[in-house]
Amino acid sequence: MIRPALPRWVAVPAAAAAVFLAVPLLAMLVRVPWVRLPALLATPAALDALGLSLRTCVLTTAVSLVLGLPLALVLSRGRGRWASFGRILATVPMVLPPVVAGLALLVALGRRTWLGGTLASAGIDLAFTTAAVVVAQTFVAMPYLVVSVEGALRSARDRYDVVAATLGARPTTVLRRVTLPLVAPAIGSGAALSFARALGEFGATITFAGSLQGTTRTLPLEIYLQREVDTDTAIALSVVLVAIAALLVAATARLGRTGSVPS
Amino acid sequence: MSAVTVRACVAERGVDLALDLPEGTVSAIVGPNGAGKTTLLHLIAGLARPSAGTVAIGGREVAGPTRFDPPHRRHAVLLTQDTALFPHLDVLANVAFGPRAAGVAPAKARARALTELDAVGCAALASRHPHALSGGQAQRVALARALATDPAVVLLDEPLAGLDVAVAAEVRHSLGQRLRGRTAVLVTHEVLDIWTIADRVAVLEAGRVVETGSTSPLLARPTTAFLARLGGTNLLTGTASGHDSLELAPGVRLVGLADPDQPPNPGEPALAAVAPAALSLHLAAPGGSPRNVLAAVVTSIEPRGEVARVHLETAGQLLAADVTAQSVAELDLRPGLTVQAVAKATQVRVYGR
Repeated sequence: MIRPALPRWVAVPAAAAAVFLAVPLLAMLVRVPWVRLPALLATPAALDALGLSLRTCVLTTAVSLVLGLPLALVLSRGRGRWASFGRILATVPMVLPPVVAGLALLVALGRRTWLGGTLASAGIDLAFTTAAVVVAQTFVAMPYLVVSVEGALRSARDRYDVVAATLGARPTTVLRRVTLPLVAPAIGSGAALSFARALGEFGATITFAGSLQGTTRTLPLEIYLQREVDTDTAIALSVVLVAIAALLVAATARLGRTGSVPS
Repeated sequence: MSAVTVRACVAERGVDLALDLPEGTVSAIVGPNGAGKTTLLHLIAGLARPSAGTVAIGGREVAGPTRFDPPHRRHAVLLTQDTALFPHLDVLANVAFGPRAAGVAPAKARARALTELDAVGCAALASRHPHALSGGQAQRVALARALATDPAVVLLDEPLAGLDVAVAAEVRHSLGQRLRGRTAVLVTHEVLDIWTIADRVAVLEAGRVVETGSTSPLLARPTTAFLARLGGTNLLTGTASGHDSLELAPGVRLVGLADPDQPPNPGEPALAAVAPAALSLHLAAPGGSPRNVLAAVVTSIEPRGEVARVHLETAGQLLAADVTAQSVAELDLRPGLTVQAVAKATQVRVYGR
């Protein structure tokens, strides 16, 4: 079947939108000091920031999976007021301004708060540590995984779970061999989204964890710092972020294509 | 001994079932839509909770006032029209799923799966994925997957519905072969399934078991309109007026052959079964001959290929007659017309309740 064509005029605003999205990225690529790029990225500050970002984002993604998957499972089965409340709670950090998220974490877990004080007396001191970066990133990134997986679980039909149970599979076996494999594409894209969101995190990190080179100064913080002092370094670091983002988007798109399970 | 005993209500579905399924027999469950057939399967499988009463499998209570075993502890496997083969596993892994879940080692589970696949003629499909199977293949693989768990009872919810006729025949053959000697419950609408697969029949109506028994006597001497329709015959009820006749209404007599296994007792309620094809329709009663003649009013005419099924009402009871399309035209049959339905006594079976 041939679908009726779109009106021709739609092409004009569509092209404008595409240009609008492409120009800033292209401008940056043009402006990149390609020849000096290796040298710019090899400075201790840059390497520290790069390494820290990758380490914390991997940790954030892992924590999001370990805690977020069970939350998505519980929410997907939930009905009624508590489940709706839980779903809202899980999505709020996605739309919260990151600075506000950081402030909220500070108020909850800061040294002078009850919870923070209790943790500190137990020997867990978050303030200005890499752990604080992971906490800040997880707070804003985990919701992406939860929302993505919960949506997939809710639209998946429960017939496979039912059949697996009648075949003698315990709930844990059903989860491990049927429920989770069937939503694997959503888990993959949710994890990639969480990683990407964590990688770009700025406001919550600087508010809650501060900006200490090698400890809490992640790539976005380093870029912000270098932006006026050394624009070339800032742009070089930005290119690295753009490249990682592009890779993640491509990987997610691929997951969506090959991972779709025929029903 | 009963392999499965159900004495259970599900109040919200208006179901109150009492049924015993003998060990090693296949019981067909028939009845109109909404009669509670699927609820019965769900009660046994652990997918529905009885609001009162108990369910026992192999003499062990699995659901009761203080007990509810989840599905995976019941050894009751469910096969549905939608086979629900796991799309992310190949055929072999699908069939090996049950043994693996029961803790059988991978190699042993695969060997068992291959044996089961071979038994339904699907060993060659072992490495395929479910989306690459035809409907009939998928249903046979699902059967292999179910039997690989050594179930205490196999529950089948219209497994052949949705398959085209030729394919359904093959799968029916596989079912008949593989279910023989096992305890199974088969929900179906097809009399052919009952004859070829089931040993016993239970009729459900409005959430109650209204009839149970062995397949052939029950279909030969139906006692409910539903069973009669399923068996493709008309069921007429009345009072026995002799050893081979009954009165449908005062003055309306039907003579036939008494069923030797269950002859009617004069003066007591009796039933008569007559096939739609054994009835002929006339505008005027034919003279002479030992025939039954019933005045009947046409209610509707249903085309069925070269014959037409004419639905009639006689003495307040429903009757169906299969006549040729030509007769419909010649007699100018139409709803409201009064006709004479004629049946030879040798084609009417009369029996007691």
